[in-house]
Order: sequence, then structure tokens, then C-alpha cells
Amino acid sequence: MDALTSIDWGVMFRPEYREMLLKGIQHTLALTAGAIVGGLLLGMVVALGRLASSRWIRLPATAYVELVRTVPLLVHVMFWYFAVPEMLPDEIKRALYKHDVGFYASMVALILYAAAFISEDIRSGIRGIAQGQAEAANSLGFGFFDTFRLVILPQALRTTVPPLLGQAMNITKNTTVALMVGVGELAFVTRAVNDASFLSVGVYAFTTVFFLLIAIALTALGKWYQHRYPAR
Amino acid sequence: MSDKPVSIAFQGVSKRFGDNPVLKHISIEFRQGEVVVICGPSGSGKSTLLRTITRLESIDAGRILVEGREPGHTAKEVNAMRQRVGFVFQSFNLFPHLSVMDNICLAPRQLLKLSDREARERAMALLTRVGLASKADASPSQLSGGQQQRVAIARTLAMQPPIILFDEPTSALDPEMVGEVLAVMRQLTDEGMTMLCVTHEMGFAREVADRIVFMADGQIVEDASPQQFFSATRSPRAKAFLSEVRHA
Amino acid sequence: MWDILETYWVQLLIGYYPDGPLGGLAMTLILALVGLVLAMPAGLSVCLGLISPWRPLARCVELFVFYMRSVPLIVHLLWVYFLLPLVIKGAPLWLVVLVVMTLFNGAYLSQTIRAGIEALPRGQYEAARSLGLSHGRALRHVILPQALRNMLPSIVSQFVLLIKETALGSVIGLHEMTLEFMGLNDTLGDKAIPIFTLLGISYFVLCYPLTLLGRYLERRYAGPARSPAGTSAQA
Repeated sequence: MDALTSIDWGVMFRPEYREMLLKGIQHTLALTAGAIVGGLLLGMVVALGRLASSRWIRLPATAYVELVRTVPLLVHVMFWYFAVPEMLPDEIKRALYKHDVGFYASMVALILYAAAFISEDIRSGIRGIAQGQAEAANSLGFGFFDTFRLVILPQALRTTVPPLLGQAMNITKNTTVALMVGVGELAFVTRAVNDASFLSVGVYAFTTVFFLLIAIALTALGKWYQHRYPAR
Repeated sequence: MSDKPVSIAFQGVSKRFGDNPVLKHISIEFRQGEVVVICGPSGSGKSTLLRTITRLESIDAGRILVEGREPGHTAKEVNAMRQRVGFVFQSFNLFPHLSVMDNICLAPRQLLKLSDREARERAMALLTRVGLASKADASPSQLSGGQQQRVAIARTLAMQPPIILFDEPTSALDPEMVGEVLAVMRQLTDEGMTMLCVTHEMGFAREVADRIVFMADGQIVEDASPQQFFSATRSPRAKAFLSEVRHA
Repeated sequence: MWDILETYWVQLLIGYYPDGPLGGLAMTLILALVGLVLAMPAGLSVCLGLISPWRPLARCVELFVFYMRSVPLIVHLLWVYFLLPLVIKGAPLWLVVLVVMTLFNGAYLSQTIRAGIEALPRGQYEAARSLGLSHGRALRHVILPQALRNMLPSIVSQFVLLIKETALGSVIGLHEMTLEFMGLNDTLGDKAIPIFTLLGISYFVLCYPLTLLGRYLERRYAGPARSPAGTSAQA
């Protein structure tokens, strides 16, 4: 039980580790932000694709969602990190390896993974809007895109925001997977500091508290949103 | 009628839901074999009255006697009382995961310890009576509302209760199915069971009821024979109610 | 790709057993299955705590569930990897993963179970009791059969999530399917594309039929007890 008796809660204030931990947070937030933005944009596109009338658009979109969701995120990251660079022409590959391949691979994997789930939530949100809304808009003379933009999407977003907040939480948690490919996000740094200093509990607690704070913030945001825009 | 023993007695029963008083100091007796229709505007407390008898709702004051005794509060006593007082719900409440036959046989097998064969014989006899013998192996979702309610009545009768309560049995049915359920209920009135029926079906009331009890605002406003009730109502509330339900 | 499968299928299936620990697909499946079997009573206990009339207990359980859901699975693994050997000397890796999965999925399942019970119309219980059935008999013959049937689709999709979760065991060195493939990648050098494509396909072949089964069950039983929003999407 020595490790517990020598808990050093001040680990984050130790200069040598403080920088590592802050960089860890930076990487985590960068991955999270990128995945949320990318996931939302791609998710919307895929959601529309799944609702398209043409089979040539619908089936690939559906295949994408089904494939991505049944494979663990870690495997996606591995695929983009190990396998995809091999498929690129040599010059691009060499240029890529000069930068942080792990970071890019993780980002792409996170975006694709998040988009698959986000598209499902958006699709249910859109389907939830009564058929009559689209018909009314069409009768007024609005074409497909305008109907979508002015009538369907605003309503769909209202119901979709709570599940999207849930997805944001998932994305934040999912960034920890990047540690497996050397990205210095928070979980990677946690392990590194622990290996170097055996200060496990302090560092683990730091990381845990970080995620709990994010969860509390998102939960509060969700509650505020439901208060302001209650589901009718 | 007045020489028959008292089946159910309310003595000063009151109940409130939150701040809302729903039964106000009710005292009334129902004798064995009586067929009583309880009617009134919505919110009058008539369903609650019925539900307090079998303790589906609790009461805040007073006593309710079933067959001369006040059932205790142990689970055993309450369950025993419920075997003697059948309850038919507005929403039928058939068990969707069991076939019609199993719905009817469940309680007799579990509680009366009937053998499989005895339970099935009893069930088939009841199904024949309500006109649904061919549906014994169907699942409730395959039946119409009227058929489901008839099965629900058969399920209640399987326990052979001396008292049976009906809580708006036809209110959830499409109009064309009301008749088949009322027909079954009409049959039962000759059996000698004590029947208390909360319903809006005034035609049925006029035909078979021995007594009509009119409730409003948690109190019993009128308690009379059908002839008296329909032709010589005294209270203005009852008059207003009747004129709305005139097509009975 | 097929020649890799042909050459290495034994290792990918069961790891280095019996010369080493059990690994590969076998470990993944066994872990997921045992995890599910343990997570259900765990979820039921947590659920009973959640709906308990004693407020302090319900509050504690709510905090537990919030904690389990907010902290990433990898961080849970790191904690238990560190703490479990302090309690059980020489705790094997698979036990660490199993403990985490039981607690983690138990927390999520508790929400599903609660939804399943609350989704049943009140009239079912009333009708059962009105026939004279005791509380216990009413639960046994009327409520639980329906609640479990309603929850079956959710349990199947939870199983899919468990299979995907086992992949994270590789983070702490557990020899499940992902780690085996990673090891193969180290050995074979330039075969990354077929190796990781095969890995992806393996999970797909494992999980997709189960996903379809879950959807079929959901249509068939039209269970009102859908998983509450937010229980999907984990790494």
C-alpha cells in the first residue's frame, strides 16, 4: 500500500509535470473540438444522405454508418495510423511522417466515428418532424433545400440538441483512445507521468477530475437548454 | 332485497388526492345479489369509490366492509379479499405475453390450485359463455377491444367471485363493440352475484339495474330505483346529467 | 489478406493458448459474454438503488452512475489496473478488464432496466393484484416476463457495446483480439493494410449480425423500453 500512503496531490504543481499535463489538456481539447466540428458537419451531410430518395446516395451513406458503428474506435484509429499511410504515394507519406501522424490519424478516426452517431441522432430528429411540415412548406412554394433550411432543420435541431450534447460528452471521452498511437492527450500523459514518478493516484485523480468537470459542465448546459427550450 | 346480507358497506369514507377531496364522507350499503349502477359527471369520484373497495386506492377516513368484515392490512388478507371481489378495468389490462387461455387460467392455477385440466375446462366454459371459444389460443393483440373486454370478464369470472366490480367497462370501446360487452354483463345479472357498475350506459342501467346511485363532487346525491331515477329525479345535478345523457 | 488468415488463424482465434494466456477472438468473446452476465445483476442492483425510496441511497447510487458515465473507459481501466493488485495480489489482466466492464456496463444497464420497468402500463400490475395474486406472484408471472421481453433488444445492443469495449483491454496489455492483430503487425512489418482491414472486418462480422438481431427484436416486441438517449456511442 506504499503507493497510496505516498500520495502526492501536488503533482500538478510540480514544474516538471505541470507542463506535460497542460499539454495533455491542450491535445485533448484540440481533438475534442476538431471531432465535434467535423462530426457535426459530416454528420449532417450523412443524415441527409440517408434520407435521400436516390438509392445511390442512400445505400453508401447507410453502409458508412453501419460499418463505422460496429467497429471499435480503437480499431479505427489503428487503421488510420498504420494502414492508411501505406496506401498513400511515397512523397505524401514522407511528408506526413514529418508531422504528428498519430494526431492526424486520431482526428480523422474521431471525426468519422462521431459523424456516424451524430447522423443517427440528426436523422431521428428530422424524422420526428411531422410530414405535414414539409408538405406545408412545399405548398408555399419552397424547394427541397429551402424547406430543409428554413422549416425542417430549425425544428429538428431543437430536439436534437440534448442527444448532441451527449455525443459531445462521448467525443471528449473517446479522445483518450488516441493514447494508443502516441498522441500526448490527457490519458497518455497520465500514464507517462505515472511511469516516471509512481505518483499514480495524484495524476489519475487530476485526469478524472478533468473529465468530471467537463461532464458537469455539459450536464448543466443540457439542463439550461431544456429549461429554456422545453420539449413540447 | 333488504333481507339479503350486506356485501359491501361504506362507513364515513373520505379520500383526497393531494388537496383535492375526491370522496366526502360516503356511507352506503350494497346487498348481496344487487345490481347497482353508479353514474355521474367525470370527477365525481365514482371510479375512486370502486377502486377503494379492493384497495387499489387507499382511504383517509372511514371503513369499508367486504362481506361483513373489514379486511386487514396484511398482504395475505388483501389478496384473499381480492379473490372474492372481481374487478373489470376500463382498459381491459389483459396480459399481452399470455394467450387468452393462459390469461384466464393464471389465477385459478396459481391461487385456487386447480389442475391444468380443471383450469382449462373452466376457462373454455367461460369463453363459450362470452362467445369467444374459438379464440382460446389467440394472443390479446389479435383481438378487438370488445373481444378483449369479454376475455377480461371471463378472466375475472374464473375465480368465481361473489362480488364483481365494473369500472367503466365500455368507455374505451368503439361504439359498435359496446353492445357485445353489455350483453355479457346483462347475462351476469341473473347469476346472483353482487354487481357494482360505473358506467355511462343509461339504457343498460334502466334495463338491468336494481338501483342507481348518482354521484357528484365526491358525494352521493341520489340513490333510487331506476323508475324513480329516470322519471322523478329530485336533484338539479341529476337532472342536468340526465338531459346530457338523454339518448340512453 | 487471406493468406494471413490462413497462416495465423489459430493465434488470432485463441492467442498463444495453451503455451500462453488465452487470447484473440476467444478472449474477446468470453470477456464480453461474462461481462454481460455479470453486468446484469450489477445493473439490477444499481437500478433498485436508483428507485429506492430511501433518498440517501438513491443519491449515492446516482453519483456512482454519473461518475461511471462521465469518466472515459480508459481512465477507469487505468484506475483499476493500479488499484486491483493492491486488493487482490497478482490480479490477472482479464480480471481488471472484467471488473471495469461489470461496473461500467452495470451503470448503463441500470438505466435500461429502470426504463423497462417503468414503461409497463400500471394497469398490468393492478389487474394482476386484483385477481388476488400476491406482489411476488404478480412480478413473477406478469411484470417481469414483460419487462425482460421489452428489454431484450437493449440487452442485445449492450452486448455489442461490450464486444467493442473489450478492444480497450489492449491499452493495458490484455491479449484480446485487437492486441493480437497489433502484435501481428509488429511481426510482419509491411502488412498493415490487410491486417487492420481484417481486424475491422472481424469486428463487423461479430457485431453487425447482433445489431440486426437487436433491431429485429425491437420491432417484434415493440418494446417501449428503448435505451434512454445517451447510452449509445462509446469507444
